[in-house]
Amino acid sequence: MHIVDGVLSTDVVVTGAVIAVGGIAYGLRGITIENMPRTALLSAVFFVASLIHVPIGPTSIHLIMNGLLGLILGWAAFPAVFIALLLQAVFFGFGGITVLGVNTVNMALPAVLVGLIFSPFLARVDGRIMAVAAFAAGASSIMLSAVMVGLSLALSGQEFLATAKLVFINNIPIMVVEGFLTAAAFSLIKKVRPALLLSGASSRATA
Amino acid sequence: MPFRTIIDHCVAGFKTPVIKGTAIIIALAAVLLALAPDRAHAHSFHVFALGDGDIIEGYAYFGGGARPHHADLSIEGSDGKVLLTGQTNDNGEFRLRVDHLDDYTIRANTGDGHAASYIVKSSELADDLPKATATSPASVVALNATEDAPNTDIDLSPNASPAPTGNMIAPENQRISITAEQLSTLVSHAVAKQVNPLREQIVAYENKVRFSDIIGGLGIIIGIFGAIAWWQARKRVSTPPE
Repeated sequence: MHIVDGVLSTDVVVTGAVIAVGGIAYGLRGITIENMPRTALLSAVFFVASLIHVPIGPTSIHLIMNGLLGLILGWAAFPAVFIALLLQAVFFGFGGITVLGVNTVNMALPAVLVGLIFSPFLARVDGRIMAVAAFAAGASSIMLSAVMVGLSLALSGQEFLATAKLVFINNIPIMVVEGFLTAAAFSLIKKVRPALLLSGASSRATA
Repeated sequence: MPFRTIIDHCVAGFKTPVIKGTAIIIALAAVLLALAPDRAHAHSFHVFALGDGDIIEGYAYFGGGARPHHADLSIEGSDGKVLLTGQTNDNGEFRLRVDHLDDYTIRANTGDGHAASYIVKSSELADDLPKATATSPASVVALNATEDAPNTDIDLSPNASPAPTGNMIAPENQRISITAEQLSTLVSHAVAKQVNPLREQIVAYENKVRFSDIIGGLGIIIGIFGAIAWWQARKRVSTPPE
């Protein structure tokens, strides 16, 4: 899912960077002292998750966990993803520096969307329905990321359908794996300490 | 609720639910981290190639060892002109014959956002190849990657042409004579054969994700958010009246 330097056209790189800066700025505004640790922690989770590989077929795929980031962090997923991606690019050569903006948007925007769509619902339901919804959140954020990667490549001149199909098929196993992981992690947090899931303002109220 | 009991059992030492929840999240992160080192292969894409004589061979691979099937391949000369486009074979391997001395850049692209390049320096190729110039541009021919043809085609037949003086030469004393160029080709081929696996290992080692890098990265993440938290905390402290 990490697009590398030199594959995308300049238009796409610049557009990605602009959207990423906007998202990061908006996300940073939402980070308060109260939700700072969890932003840092989930940034670390995202950073490490990419190192866990699921070897399937000819290629190996890694976890991304952007669904969980979106559910817990909301807009703060943008800075969290950005910092993790920056370090991955510097340390491991995943992706690259110039495409950092595009990669950030490709991972963080689906996270934010999933957070906006699923969080209100997840806050109301419980038990099995909650687990299924969390599964859907984890899986759909990967699906959206795959579509966005395909779209980024297509806008840079590659044929959309073939590329999108390739990215999509490669990521179907990870959608399932992440669905389960997101459901497990979300259920665990909600059972053990639901206050961890509240946004900054409301957690201050309940604290 | 057995699940809850397991959790309670595991973190029984922690009394308050706040610490318990935090402990669980830290435990989750630790499990993720513990899984990482032995599986710590970058999901990055690389090309590796070696020059030997007039042959360039190599392969494209993902960090961790997986090989792409039929990745797109393109070869550029030092002037950036594309000399050949093709595909790797099923194992991500390729094999090319060049006819000029040049720094060749080999690019591979899997089509889903993974691309990589590798430069084969002219010093790796046989010295007797003509230098690539504007007037005689290099050309590259793709060979079958799996075929294991000998890279040197020097005919080492007994040299009988320079007027055989002795009428009886015992077979064990039979001499072969080779030219200096042939010798240098043979030596460089032999050296390449010995050294290339080593170079392969070095490149693979450089691309490996190291545990220290992971820990360093986590430290930086904590540092960055710690700095932001500190900044916000100072702001809050400095606003109340004295």
